[in-house]
Amino acid sequence: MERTEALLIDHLREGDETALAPLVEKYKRMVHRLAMQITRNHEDANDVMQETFIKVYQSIHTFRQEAAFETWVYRIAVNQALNFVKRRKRRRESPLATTEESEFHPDVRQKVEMANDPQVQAEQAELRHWVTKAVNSLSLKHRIVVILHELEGLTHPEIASILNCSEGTVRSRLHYARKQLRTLLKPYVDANSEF
Amino acid sequence: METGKVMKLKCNAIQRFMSDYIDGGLSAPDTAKVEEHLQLCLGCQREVNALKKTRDLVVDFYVEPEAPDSYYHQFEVELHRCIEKKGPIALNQRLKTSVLQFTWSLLTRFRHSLGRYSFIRMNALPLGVLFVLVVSGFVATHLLKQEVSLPPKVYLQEVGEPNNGDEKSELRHGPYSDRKTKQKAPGEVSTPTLAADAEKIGYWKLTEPLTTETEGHIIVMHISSDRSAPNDTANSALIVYAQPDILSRKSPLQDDKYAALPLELQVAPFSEKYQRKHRRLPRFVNKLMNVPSEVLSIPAIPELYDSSKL
Repeated sequence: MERTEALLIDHLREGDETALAPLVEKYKRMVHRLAMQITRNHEDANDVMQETFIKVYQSIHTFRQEAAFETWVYRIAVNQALNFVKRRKRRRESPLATTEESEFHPDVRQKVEMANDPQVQAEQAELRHWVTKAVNSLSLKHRIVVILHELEGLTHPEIASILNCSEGTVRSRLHYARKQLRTLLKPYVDANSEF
Repeated sequence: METGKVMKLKCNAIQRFMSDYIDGGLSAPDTAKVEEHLQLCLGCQREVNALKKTRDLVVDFYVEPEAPDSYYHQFEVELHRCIEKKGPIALNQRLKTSVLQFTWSLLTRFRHSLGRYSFIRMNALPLGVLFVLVVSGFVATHLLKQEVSLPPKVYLQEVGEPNNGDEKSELRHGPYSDRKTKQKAPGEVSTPTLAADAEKIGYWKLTEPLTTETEGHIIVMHISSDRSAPNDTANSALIVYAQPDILSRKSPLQDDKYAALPLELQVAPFSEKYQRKHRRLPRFVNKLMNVPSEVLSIPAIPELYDSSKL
């Protein structure tokens, strides 16, 4: 019988290790995506994933039922990823180039259907490159808000809870990030062409 | 008129709402205000469109990192191994985890069973508060009972000649009593009917060694070696404790080195009596009443003695 998420959480709290696997299955892609977007480094992202789920396993008794489990996992993942970024900064390692990400992830998810027209295909590939680059060039605090809001679809209160800041701060960072992106993507934003 | 009112909303003020506006996160009145302004302000209209387009570009074209299934499979294997490896953690941590798991298991069962009893579920908060109050009341009264245990009482016993090596614990009553006037045989012990014995001249010994837990207070003041009454130049110090209700019925206790006066509530009438009886010593009484509080206070048991009463 398939167990619901609430039941899995209860079982995990009671020490049933088998309850972890379905939860990992459900959230692994989300955690990996988030870890990659924040750390921009495959090895760190892998470590972040591992640390996140170990933390979930070890700290499940601290999870309050009132909060959404997904938000709780987000919070752990974001915190772990930020720790890795800080550690990396301390080690003075330069972040890997975006090209490495595409090398590691050949089967990137594409939300827009590939057009048949080779010219349109080329334009879209270029657009993906610049948009990804623009988002990745944002400062960490602005990038996280953009990722959580625009890409993960979280609400302002959820993001505020994850980042442990006020909703006003989230709104302000999002607005600033959008303006930055608008400047970075000016040629595409101002273009009249339909995407 | 209406147009003028809308135009009062400056572009800078509208800017703050733009992000929320394009997300549809504004309240109906705020949305109406922004839309009214946008109808009249071409610059803000362009800004809103640009921000919308930027958002759509990010949502549609940002390449989200995605790994192949083989990667996730490998990850799960590694995670399982890592958790197994981290299994034997420190004993106290394992104990804590086990206790928490057990507690949670109990709570879960309780929660599930609670679902069957709607009355309890609906009144969980007041019932919980009532339970906590009852338990805390019981615990508080039980603990208070234990805390109000009285310190041991110390009585005076009449004994023979004082031992020179035990001067502090042997006290003779009467400020001017002469030890040669009456002496008891060594080892002779009187009954503790102290009121009756108060007028006798003899040597008195405390039944129990004096400790900081002994009830009551005595101020002991150095007197001169000629056994005269303490004077205002005497050096004072609070050095011993004894039961005040016995001592207050007597004259100040005195031996070769010390004169002892009981303090506490009885000090005022006692001092008056003392002053009447020994008129030569008004300054001594005044001095007693003006003993600095730091001399009278005992840090180890501050609750037993309140110097402010003086």
